Amino acid sequence: MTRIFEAAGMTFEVRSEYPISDATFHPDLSIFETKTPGADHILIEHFFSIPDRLSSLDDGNALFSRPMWTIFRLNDVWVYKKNPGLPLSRKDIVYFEFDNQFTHCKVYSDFLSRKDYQRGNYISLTLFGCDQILMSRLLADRAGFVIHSNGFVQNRKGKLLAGPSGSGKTTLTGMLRQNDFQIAGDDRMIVTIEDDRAVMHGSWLHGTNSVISRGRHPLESIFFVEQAGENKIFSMEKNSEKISNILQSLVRPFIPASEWQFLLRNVEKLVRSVDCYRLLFDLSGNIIEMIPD
Amino acid sequence: MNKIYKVSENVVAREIEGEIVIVPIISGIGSMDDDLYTFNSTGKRLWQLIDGKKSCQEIISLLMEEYDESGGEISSQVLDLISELAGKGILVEA
Repeated sequence: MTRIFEAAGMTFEVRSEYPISDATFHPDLSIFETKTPGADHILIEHFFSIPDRLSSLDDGNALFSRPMWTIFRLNDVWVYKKNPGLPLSRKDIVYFEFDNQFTHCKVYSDFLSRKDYQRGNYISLTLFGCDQILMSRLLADRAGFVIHSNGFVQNRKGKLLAGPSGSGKTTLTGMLRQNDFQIAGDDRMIVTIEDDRAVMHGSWLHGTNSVISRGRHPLESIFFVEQAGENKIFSMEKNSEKISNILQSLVRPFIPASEWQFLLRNVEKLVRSVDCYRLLFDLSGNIIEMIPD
Repeated sequence: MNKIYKVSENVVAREIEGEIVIVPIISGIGSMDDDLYTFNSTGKRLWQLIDGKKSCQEIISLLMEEYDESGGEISSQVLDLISELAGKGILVEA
């Protein structure tokens, strides 16, 4: 049995060594299900033992090593090793093996039983984490980004609330919801550049609030939010300020320098096609009526 | 002053809308670390002159010909910025 999901113009077919049950994936993912693979199709396979070629990898030979991730180039594949850390236990390591084109992702773990898997209620297709590493890598080839932000829709236009953790994105999103704004996503939004225009996509990527939605809207504005003792919205005029804020909000993929040039070209298009604002707000809720239409 | 610097292979730089943007490409995967640099016109000119061939002294001399500030000011600004960028691994000795 396989399941196919769609987001941001890509389809993702999930296959598994264990049978996939109705409870393997969270019901929220059902809005992304589709019956047929699209033209831009990614295969994700789940395996429940770790082959020697992966378990024997020496971290000393890694291309990249940080507490959460270690990345290797192994013959004609890329290996992303997810190191132990919350919510995994200390010994639990997961390997993601990608083909050269990043169209085939094999996920290897050895600590899930068939029962665990079948009642997993997973909200990510790779099972571990929220798929942001997979998505940010795939989007880098497709003129897109994952942006650390919440999304909402106003007059059919997409808008993002961006900023680091603790800046007040969740609080402000709650205010928008109370004022009947359509919330499009929580903490991780996908943006693509299509014909030099920015498009905001709903996806299953999310933070702690599990707000997910499907659909696409032209992206009109990005608000870089700060909780403060006043309500003010400033239009950002300096490109350096816009670029710096956008880059600091990107979920950065691991890609070579040549692909970074492509990504930065698309950041340039994003800066040209959206309005950027600095938004200060207090808890009065008065900021809502100040948000430009 | 006689040291020669070049841009590290671990960063990528691009001019976007008149600003030089420098992004470390092997740190911060999946994160939003605050380790980006953007340069306006003066910093941009310095960045263009760091080519792995010119020494710091040669760069300072060239900038002194182009800008009105005193030699001492230009020298200290250039050396401070190069020292900061080298400390961050953005520049390495050629």
